[in-house]
Amino acid sequence: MQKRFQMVRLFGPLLADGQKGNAFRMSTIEPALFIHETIVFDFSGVENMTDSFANGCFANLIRNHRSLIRRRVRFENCSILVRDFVASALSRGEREANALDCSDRREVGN
Amino acid sequence: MNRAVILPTYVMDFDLPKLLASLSLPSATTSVDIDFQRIKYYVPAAVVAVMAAIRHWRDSGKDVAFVNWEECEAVRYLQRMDFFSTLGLDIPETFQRHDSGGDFLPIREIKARTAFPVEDTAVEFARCIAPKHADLKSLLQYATSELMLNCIQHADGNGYVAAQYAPKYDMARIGIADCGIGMLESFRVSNSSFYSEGMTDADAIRKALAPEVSSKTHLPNSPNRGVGLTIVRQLMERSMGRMVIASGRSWWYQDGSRRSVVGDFPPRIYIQGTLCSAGFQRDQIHMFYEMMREVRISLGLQTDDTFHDLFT
Repeated sequence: MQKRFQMVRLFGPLLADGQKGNAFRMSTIEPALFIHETIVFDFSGVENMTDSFANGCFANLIRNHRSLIRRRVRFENCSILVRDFVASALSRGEREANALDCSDRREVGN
Repeated sequence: MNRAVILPTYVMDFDLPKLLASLSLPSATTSVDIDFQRIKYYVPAAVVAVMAAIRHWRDSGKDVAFVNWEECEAVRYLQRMDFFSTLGLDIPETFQRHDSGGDFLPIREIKARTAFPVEDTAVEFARCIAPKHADLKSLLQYATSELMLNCIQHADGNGYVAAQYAPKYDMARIGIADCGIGMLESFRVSNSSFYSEGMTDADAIRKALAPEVSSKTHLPNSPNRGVGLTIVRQLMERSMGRMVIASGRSWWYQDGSRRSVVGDFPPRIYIQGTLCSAGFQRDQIHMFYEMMREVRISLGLQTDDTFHDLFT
């Protein structure tokens, strides 16, 4: 079962507000992640993004659900610009998740 | 105590600190006569700085009188920018309004997040300023959004934004002025780990320009990673533009890729809120996505592309 988010319909051609991205992650994406086998973000029609939106939505998403994202999430119809925003946010979120793992391990070790 | 503020004739980017200093009034001031007679040319940040100052004076109970606007050479321009009407002054227009011809859009009052359409405003500004230049349009959408979001996040949206393309300088400029608590206070009241005792306004501006620094990054699940302002600065550098930030007792200025300059206002001068002016040289902007990649690499933010299999 697949869930597809048409980003342009949800947010318009410019995805800017990090708070909106964060709220979308918490209220819509995360619940869907546990119900659907595949989550598809369709970026057709999206022209531009900000780092605020990309981080609020995707960096926090992978930070909290790294393995699920790798297995279940796909990004479609991204322009080069949009792809770079999303990939950069994913990388940042993964670095943060790794850092959290390290600090958890240190706490366990202590 | 009544004070007269005579607005200067020209205010370019590097004149902004001087303008701001002239708008800072002693607390004993009860009424202000703001004189428009000399104004000829202001960059957008200067226009919104004057608006933010007037709003701050009014909010602190001062009576504000607009004088000699009839003699002002730039009065029509200010009217087209909705300068007077946004401040509640009804001045009859003796001209026919026409399309701004891709040069500017009327000033927008930034409000709290729920009441202010960041995306629509950024798209509209960019479309107006750069109708035929896709890469500049993308850059302006990015920069305007990030700067407006900063204003909403750190000043509860109490501010003004303006944008203009100046053909003479081939420069697209964005100006944002807010009436918030300023950068240093924002670090302090947020209990940010980047705040330390003895930190100055100049330190706070420098910190805010550094990558992955924000007064809000430490908050749980914060969407803020503190990269927006840093990237705007890098884009300005790469386009050989100009940028000014002023907050509290200090200002910061950079011309293209030259070394930035930081200064303090004269003693007893304190700027309420934050002013940001960002200008981008149009003919230096090509392939926005390439510019963004270069910026990310230079800041150490570029992805290692381990996620390529997620994109189809």
